[in-house]
Amino acid sequence: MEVEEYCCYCGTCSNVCPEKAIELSDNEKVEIDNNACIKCGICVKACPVGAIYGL
Amino acid sequence: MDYDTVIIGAGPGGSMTAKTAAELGLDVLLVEKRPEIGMPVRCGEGTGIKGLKELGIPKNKKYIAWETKGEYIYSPDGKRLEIVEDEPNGYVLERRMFDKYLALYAAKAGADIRTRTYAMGIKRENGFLRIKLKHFNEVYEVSCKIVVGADGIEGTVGKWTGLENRTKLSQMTSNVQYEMVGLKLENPEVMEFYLGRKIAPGGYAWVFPKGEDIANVGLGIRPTGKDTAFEYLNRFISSHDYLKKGKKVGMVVGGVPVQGPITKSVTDNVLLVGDAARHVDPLTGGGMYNAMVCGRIAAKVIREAVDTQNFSEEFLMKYENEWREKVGAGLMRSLKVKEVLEKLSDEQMNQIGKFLRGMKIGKLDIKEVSTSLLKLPPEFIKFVESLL
Repeated sequence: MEVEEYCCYCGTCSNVCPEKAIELSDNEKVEIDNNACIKCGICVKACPVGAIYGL
Repeated sequence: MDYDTVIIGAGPGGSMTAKTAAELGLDVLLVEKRPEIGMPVRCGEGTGIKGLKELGIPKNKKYIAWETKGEYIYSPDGKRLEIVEDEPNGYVLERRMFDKYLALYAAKAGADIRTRTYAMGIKRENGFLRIKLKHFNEVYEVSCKIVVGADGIEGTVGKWTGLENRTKLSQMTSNVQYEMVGLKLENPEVMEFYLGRKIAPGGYAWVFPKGEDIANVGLGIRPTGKDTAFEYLNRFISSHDYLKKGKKVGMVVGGVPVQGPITKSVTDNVLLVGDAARHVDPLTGGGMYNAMVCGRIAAKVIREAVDTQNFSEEFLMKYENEWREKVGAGLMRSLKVKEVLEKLSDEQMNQIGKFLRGMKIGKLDIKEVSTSLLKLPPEFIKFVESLL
């Protein structure tokens, strides 16, 4: 999964990820652990601005 | 021991915990990952005057953008219910200033504050905690007796300490808001709410005035995977003449957990406060008052824990019991109303609106929309039940 540059870093995706595979890093970036990711697409739906892609 | 308590997150919940704990004589560190407290804003900024008074927060023009006297609640057919009082009962805040001032009050009370400081992890050691912090490239640890996770919807303190606070997709709303200027507001003294499945499925749209022609215009939806909140908001604005000519001067984005409070907010040496504990009102999505009230309770319990040197989950349950007593029933009521609202079709909402407009509601003592809905007479509840 990838994050668009227009991501607003709000953390909604990280909160709904059932695998705890998304974290907000200290340099204002959303980091998705693609090894832990199960491609369920929940983060894609939750994002208020549609910034996550790669399903 | 470096501190009695380290509080992660300088939003209203964290700062109120820090302020109260410092006033009670504790050694407090308040940590904020952002360089500047209050930024970026993630809030509609509307709140009740009564709540802030109760919390002892001074009425300061620096962070109060505007006063409101009530609400217009629009049903899907565009007809509105007007609930307006003679005197102001609501504030629309300037959150970037409000949060900063709360932290400032905490610092004045004696709390240490470190911004641009990111919490990386928590280690247990001999019944105490070591918090790993990062400030620019410097990584270091501070020791403390109790950590408070006031770290919001994306918070990690719960994750690290085994407190389950993740949200299911069906239990959160996805929100986008513009701050707009140049609006032709019909009545700048009311907060406006728009309901309807086509407007904001599973949520609502809002217009909260911050001046004669300035307002926060936003919307929250329960995400479906089709259109994003962003797309719904743009459609909402372009379908209202008084909004579409306005200029967008800012934008905020975020998720609001609307599942009601978490089942367990404490464990040994750890408390969760505010959004991290899902203290948000599930109906309105409002979270400031509850976060601050619970933060104040947290600080008092931490004081007692330090006095008795007891940091066990069993002792800290006092915090959980007290916040449930204070805001638990209200949160559960709002959850129930939200669940009923979610089931209603647009036509049913229109009927309810018509019913309410036909009633002489008069002057309601309202803090939030939820309270006003809950104070309605039994025949209204029966009417709603008859629709379902």
